[in-house]
Amino acid sequence: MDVSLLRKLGVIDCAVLQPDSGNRFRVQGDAPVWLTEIAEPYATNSVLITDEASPYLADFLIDAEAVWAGKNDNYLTAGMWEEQIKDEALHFDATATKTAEGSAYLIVQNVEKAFKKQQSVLQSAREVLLEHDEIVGEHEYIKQRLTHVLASNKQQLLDPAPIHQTIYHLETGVVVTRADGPLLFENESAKMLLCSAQKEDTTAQIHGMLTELNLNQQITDDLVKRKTSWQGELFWHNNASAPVWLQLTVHPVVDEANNHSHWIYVLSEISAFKQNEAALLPQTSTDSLTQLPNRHYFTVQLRRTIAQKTPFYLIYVDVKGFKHINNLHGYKAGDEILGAVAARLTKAVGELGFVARIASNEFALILNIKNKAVANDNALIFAEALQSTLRQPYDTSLVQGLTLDVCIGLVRYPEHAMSADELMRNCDLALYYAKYRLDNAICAFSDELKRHSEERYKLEESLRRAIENGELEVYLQPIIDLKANRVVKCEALARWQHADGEFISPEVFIPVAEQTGLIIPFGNWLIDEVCKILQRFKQQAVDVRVAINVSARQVSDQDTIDYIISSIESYQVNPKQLSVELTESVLVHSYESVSALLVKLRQLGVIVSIDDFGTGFSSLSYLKHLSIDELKVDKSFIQDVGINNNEDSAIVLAILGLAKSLNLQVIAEGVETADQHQFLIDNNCDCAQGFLYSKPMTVAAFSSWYKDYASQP
Amino acid sequence: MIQKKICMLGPTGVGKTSLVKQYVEGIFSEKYLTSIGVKIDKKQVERNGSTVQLMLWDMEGIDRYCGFNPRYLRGASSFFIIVDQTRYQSLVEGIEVYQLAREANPKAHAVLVVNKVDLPATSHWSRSELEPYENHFANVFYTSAKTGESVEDMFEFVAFGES
Repeated sequence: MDVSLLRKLGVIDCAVLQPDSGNRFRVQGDAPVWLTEIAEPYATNSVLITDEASPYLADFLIDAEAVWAGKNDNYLTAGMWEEQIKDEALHFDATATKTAEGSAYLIVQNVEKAFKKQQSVLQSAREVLLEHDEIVGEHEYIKQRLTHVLASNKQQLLDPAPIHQTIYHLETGVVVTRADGPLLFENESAKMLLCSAQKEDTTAQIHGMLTELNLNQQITDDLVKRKTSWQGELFWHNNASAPVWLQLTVHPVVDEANNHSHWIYVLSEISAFKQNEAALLPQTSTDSLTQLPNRHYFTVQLRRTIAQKTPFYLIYVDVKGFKHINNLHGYKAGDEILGAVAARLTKAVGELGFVARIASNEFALILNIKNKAVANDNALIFAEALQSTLRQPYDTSLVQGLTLDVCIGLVRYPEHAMSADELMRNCDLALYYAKYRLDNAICAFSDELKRHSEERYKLEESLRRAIENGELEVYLQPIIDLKANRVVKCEALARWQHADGEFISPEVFIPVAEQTGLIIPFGNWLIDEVCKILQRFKQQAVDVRVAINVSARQVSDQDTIDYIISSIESYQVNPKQLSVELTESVLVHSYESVSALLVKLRQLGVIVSIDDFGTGFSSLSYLKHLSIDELKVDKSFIQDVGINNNEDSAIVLAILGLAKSLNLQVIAEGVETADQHQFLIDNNCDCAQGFLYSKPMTVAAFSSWYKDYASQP
Repeated sequence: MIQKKICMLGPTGVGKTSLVKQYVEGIFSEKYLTSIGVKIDKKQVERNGSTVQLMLWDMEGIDRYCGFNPRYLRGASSFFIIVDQTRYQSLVEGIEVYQLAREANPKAHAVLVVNKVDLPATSHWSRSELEPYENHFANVFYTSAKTGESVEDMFEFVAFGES
């Protein structure tokens, strides 16, 4: 792209700068005339960005430096600012960016048109907000004055006192009841807002409103306890004329002795305000990239849909691994893909509902349930079809044939939640589970899911404390060299005895650690412990390698390799004594990260094994191209070997043949019988691990077991 | 010469820009024109032979359309929390902004400015309502950007302190 040409054509009014040294920048192409007003000319095609010329831009350089140093995301905008240039106010925005090749840029753009548009829209929007503030302020004043009067003289309102007269003629509706329910006072405005005829009872209408708003006994008791008000908006149908939007304040009068004497209800009609807000919403609440409604607009729409009181589905769609797409193909390509996803979602939903972009790679759908296409169980079918549509390859100007992985969470109103906040929370939970399910990645909310989530949260907290407090312990299971009949290696396995004495299985806590990110501190703890063990073994003349399992998250974390190196150095361990085990699923899902990590590990001299081999879906090309030393055959294949000429025997023989041709060692896992042991010896398997030799044991027990085994004839 | 960065913070429509305009240019406009983004003005203040240059960061009002950006508080020696005495909600929101600003910059002096005192002290809130919050602030000023009442005082306070 020729920036100079675009500038000449008036398409873009920007300065493209490249950091030189300190606050000196090289200007790329022609400089716009305004550049020297906000930066000091230095030499030919160079400028200095200084506090004197533009304090705002100079301040932004602190954050820009972090972007260029790779400490933050590769893209950061400064936000709009104003500069007074001669007699004219100009508006700018700046972007610090770093390309995939590592080139750093500072782009300063004149955003006068965008500024004028934004100011015109926000001017109206804020005038509406200020109007609404006035109504809320009025409620606050009435509430305070009434509370004061009622708390100080409970009888005053019974008399035609001046305050009675004032409130009676207010435009704002006021209703006061005794704490136990009977009406004490109401004004004309309240009657007009709530009742279609004089004979209708205002208190009954108020109770109807509280029910509509789900303000139950528990909530109102809480207001009394905390001596606080509830404020909110309500779309009120129960009026003789058209439905109206009401602003409502509910306030308990509680005296200093904590006696609850009255309820105050203050009401105002805010239909005009809501109409103005609705008219402004498309302008203030549209996502500029996809032109879809943004999170704010979505929340308003969700509340409106709830107010209609008809069942619907709320669906969240998450595009997985989007950061990876941005890193690999650049932000422009990423933006194009998001635009394409938005277009597919809009087309798929059509007239069935509403689509919004609520986070960088997350979309929300509100689907009307009256439509057969999404009614009841069809919602799941709809979600599956949607997922399939979004998984079709994407062709954009920058990327061709890119496929995306998407996961979907869904929740149904009113069964799964009544309020907007709870619906969003439950949908978030369903999406969270979808993200960690590899089978179909669609998850509908259920009470069981919520229970499970609460239990998992407790477990997560316990695990966090367990890692911090050292409640975990390393156990070791020996691995035997079948030809030499000696212990050459062992696998480090974490055991967790909870503070209450209960043993928690790794099958329970490892998945929790992986899903919550605790796997990183847990993995670091294990690396440290194993290096300490190796240091001790060196002193005790226990000559074995120790293997640790590394998860997908650790593989993706660039700090993992640094942590391994620093632990090896701290404990002065021979890297060849350390072995790392990765499962096939890690290979499949994180091939590029794995490849980079394995190269570095091999350079250090660390031995690399593929764990549970045969159970995953890894292609043989991985074995050829990755830096691997060993295959560990999964115990499910070992279980039946040596009994008959069965399929498992054939698979194990094939793996042994394959490993031999690739010059890889083979370890058989889960060996429990003498027959299995013999089969492995007969077929030249290198090593074996299993209960036949020993269960996992404490480090001290392993040390003495090792010596006993070595001394056997 | 000492240079001090001062941030003007608060909800929409309380008069942040008007206070700066009154102080720097000595002018006031009745028309409400919403600010977008940030504008920095400079003003030199002298007292007893010492000169301080104030860098006044006037920021867009914080509301549902514009979030709080902690980056802007970096290096600030003081920040003003400006509220509108005719609008109770502005006090509530101003206190929320104060908490965010305090978290972003624990060291800066915080000064509360109750603006629009030229308008009738509306019934919605009284000065006694500020009492619970007053000890959070190094000082409280009651100002009018329109008449200029206490405007110079508030800026001189952050330039030189109470001395």
